[in-house]
Amino acid sequence: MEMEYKETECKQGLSQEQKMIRKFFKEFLSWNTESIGNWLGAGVAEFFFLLSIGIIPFQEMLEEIAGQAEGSSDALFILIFAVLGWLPAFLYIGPYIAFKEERKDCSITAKLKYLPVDLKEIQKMRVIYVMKFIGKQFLAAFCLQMLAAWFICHEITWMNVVYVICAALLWPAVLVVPVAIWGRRYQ
Amino acid sequence: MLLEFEHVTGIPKKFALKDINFSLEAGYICGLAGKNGAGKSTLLDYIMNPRQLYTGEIRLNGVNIRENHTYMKNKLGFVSDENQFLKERTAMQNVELLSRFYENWDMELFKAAMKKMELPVTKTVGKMSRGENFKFQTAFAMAHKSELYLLDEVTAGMDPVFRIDYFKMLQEIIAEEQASILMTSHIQDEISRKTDFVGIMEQGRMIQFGESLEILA
Repeated sequence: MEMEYKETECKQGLSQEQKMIRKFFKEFLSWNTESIGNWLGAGVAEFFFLLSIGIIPFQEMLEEIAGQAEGSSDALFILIFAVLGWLPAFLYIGPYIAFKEERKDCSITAKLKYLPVDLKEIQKMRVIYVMKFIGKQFLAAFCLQMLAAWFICHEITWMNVVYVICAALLWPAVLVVPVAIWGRRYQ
Repeated sequence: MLLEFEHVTGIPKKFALKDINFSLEAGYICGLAGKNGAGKSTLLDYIMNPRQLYTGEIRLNGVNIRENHTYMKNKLGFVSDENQFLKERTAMQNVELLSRFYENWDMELFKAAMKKMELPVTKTVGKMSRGENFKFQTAFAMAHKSELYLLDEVTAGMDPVFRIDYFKMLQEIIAEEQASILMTSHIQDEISRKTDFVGIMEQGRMIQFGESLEILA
């Protein structure tokens, strides 16, 4: 009987409970993600990250700003930007940013386990919404990076675009694995 | 019978309950007493937590809670240090986000309960004192029309004045809603005076269960 009921739910689309959970996460995440500071901060962190791995035309940027030819100060700048880019990227972007409460003794899962809701459905939706959030961060970072490339180099080359897209695809691969493992921990 | 434990024995791990048998009718307060580590909080966890593994049956209004544990939680009100709400949000924001999961949520009842307890709904949960937090959790449990309230060491650390008021409120809940309360406590005086029934726990077993006046006389 239970199997028949579940098949019917699949045919009709999301069940009532799934709709409720989806709405819950939209609202819960909106508290943490709609702050302009979060978006800008995450976008800036992404920008520095992409800069640190050489996606942004770093050489041209230095020459443009400092009016110098290739010099030894490049290595130092690369190091500084690498540190600045990676650290905030790891601290700020990722599943933990979407669940600020997790970092402050109050696990959303610890709360949800006392509610009359299917924990497995919650976990599934949680992963989906975290990835959607990360996708939005990439979009913000991509736009910022393109804008920076235009301002600094006065052009956006196809190579820049290709590099950024490759980096944008690499990030989900790096994050999906820990998020999936993290999500499965609560199943 | 509102709550029944029938030969409930936990699947052995670090600590498990052993052959728990008792029942509680609607409209009574039952205390669980015993030393630290006796299994009082564990017993409450067996009711609330669907991941607990055990043999035997726990029934709520005659229905085995494992048949649909998710649905059963509509009828259970849990007040405990462990029952975390979103600390950076106000009481009302927590309610607006979480009340959607309850079948019988009554927003007016929640507001009235908070008003009676003199706790503003705009207060941030993280800034509430321990006592205020328990008041908020109790109001939350009242608002979704709990049939069984599970209180885990709620009165420990409460000042005597607050404790009196809190028990008055619990008595009103029982009288108005025909609910029952299962509470753990270290305070023997409280158990003997404020509860109708008591279960004495020791090393995961319930060594005695009966009317408080008889057991603790």
